[in-house]
Amino acid sequence: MFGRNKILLTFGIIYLIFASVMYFGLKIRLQKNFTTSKLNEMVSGKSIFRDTTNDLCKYQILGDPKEVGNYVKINIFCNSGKKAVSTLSLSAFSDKTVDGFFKEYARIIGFDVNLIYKNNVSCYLDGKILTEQMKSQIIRPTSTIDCSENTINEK
Amino acid sequence: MKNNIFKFIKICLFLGILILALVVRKKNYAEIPIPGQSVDEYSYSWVGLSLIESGMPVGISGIEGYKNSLPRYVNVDRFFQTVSTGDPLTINYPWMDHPPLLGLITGGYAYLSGARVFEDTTSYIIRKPIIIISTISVALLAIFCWINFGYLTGVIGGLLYATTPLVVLSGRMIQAENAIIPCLLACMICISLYIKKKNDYWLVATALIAGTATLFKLTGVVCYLFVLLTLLINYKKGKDIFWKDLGFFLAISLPISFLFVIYGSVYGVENFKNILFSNYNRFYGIGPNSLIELIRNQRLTQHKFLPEVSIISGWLVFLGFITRKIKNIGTKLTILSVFSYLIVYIFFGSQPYGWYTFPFWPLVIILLAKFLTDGIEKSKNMTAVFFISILMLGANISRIIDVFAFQVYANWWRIGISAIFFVLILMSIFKIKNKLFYRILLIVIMAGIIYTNIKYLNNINIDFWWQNIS
Repeated sequence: MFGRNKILLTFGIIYLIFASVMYFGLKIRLQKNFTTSKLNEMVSGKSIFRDTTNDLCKYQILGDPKEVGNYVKINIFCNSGKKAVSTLSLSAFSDKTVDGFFKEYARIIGFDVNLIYKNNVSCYLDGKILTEQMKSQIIRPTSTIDCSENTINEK
Repeated sequence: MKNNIFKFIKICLFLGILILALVVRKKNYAEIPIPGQSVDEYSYSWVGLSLIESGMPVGISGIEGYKNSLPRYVNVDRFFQTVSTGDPLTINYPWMDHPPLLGLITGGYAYLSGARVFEDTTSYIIRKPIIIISTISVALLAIFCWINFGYLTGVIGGLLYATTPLVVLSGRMIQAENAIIPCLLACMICISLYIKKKNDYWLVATALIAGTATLFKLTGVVCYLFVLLTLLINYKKGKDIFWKDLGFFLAISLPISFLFVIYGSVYGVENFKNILFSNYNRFYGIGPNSLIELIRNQRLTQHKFLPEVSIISGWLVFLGFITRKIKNIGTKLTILSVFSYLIVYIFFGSQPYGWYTFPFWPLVIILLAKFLTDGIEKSKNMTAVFFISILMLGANISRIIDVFAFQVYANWWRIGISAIFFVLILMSIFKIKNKLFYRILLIVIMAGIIYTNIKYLNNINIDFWWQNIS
């Protein structure tokens, strides 16, 4: 039994040291390192391991969000004949402007947002052609964005 | 000298089984099971990664009780292009669904591999540590069998657990159950050695492991329950010793489990309490038919079924074992651990996710290995052992060749199997034991089972997954 007491004493000392270091270490680390911008960087940061694409129709987001009435649909039609149809929940967007939507969509899919803003892509928001001015406007839930690559005739 | 050579061969074979286990687990590990079919895999890793980076555990939850909720599209492994339902992920912090130990292992490994943002935690990176952990489980299962039943049971148990396709695929998933399995097996080894050798250090090791198991997930409490039941049956005549052993065990294990409370208090006791109670009120999706589902319908996730005849056979053998008086301590311990986890499974049950049932599988495979080995070594229950063996082999063959391709072998099978059954029944009526014939027959069938397991695993790629695994 003396052996057991010795074991418990040793365990108790090691445990107290470990628990204290863990508790105070976590508290200090949390205070020093955690900020909202750090959180956003971790959650929405671009991966170094993921491929990027120049083909706007290569990927689309499968399925439809369950949340009723708070989504935006984007249809992209490419020259190759392919199309990408995605419906995204607006609740996942911190910047709810049209520009913010395009930037976030480009981040999720993995392409440079400037590809959409190029001259050979025309976009329509709820049937109206997208102008520079409209990009800074807050996007209306249940909107539909249609973008299509214009056919380039090379002679 | 002869003994040393035998020992060397035994250890080499043991290592060979572990290498085989690692190889089959590693093949296509990043693609199968399809990444994103269980987003828990990412969530665990994000919790670890965010804890290391910022001191704040951030993960996917969706259960009520969280004040900070952040719907986001994190397109890791491009799973929004493959298996998405269309909903963004609900990211919560401070994430308290489960203790963070598994997250620290997979997220820590991801951090060491250069991951800094959530999208970096690809299945190619984060599944590596879990493959190692599930290979360790194979080693622990074989060691438990070796210590308690003999070397041959260790080999058969190790081979079955190393190659059973469902076990291999499940062993690639980052689920806390895959970490609880080695803890439970290690507890079984340590407590059996404590019972045999009466050395306190084995009880200390049991307590350390049981405490650690709860830091993976609260269902790790299965180790506590198992130790309690073991001490109860072992010391039913010496109550003083029972209380002293239990007190000593709890004095070490409980403070380790309490580390989760200390950790939770860093992020606010109120928050910790809210989430714990929300967890308690989860939807009881396993339903009243959970026991029959456990036996007949093995799953990987909630919707991916892969019924596995080795597991079903294990359950049949388990039922056979509990109907008779058991003397062997290893068998007793295995049966107790099945019941311990059954109690935990029924009590904690929420959605019918496949991973909640993972810890049953090594336990029923231990019993299956014991049953088969008794057949090979002692010619015990000859007809029953042959029936179970042929049940597994037949199911395995049907998975790798369809019934039309099988017609070439149909006559061999029809005549061969029925003739052997007839002979075995005659042998049991006239109490004839031809050990050599029987041994060779079972060893050939066992080799066939292991070969077909590996062959089936080799067939599983992404196309096969979508076409054949419903």
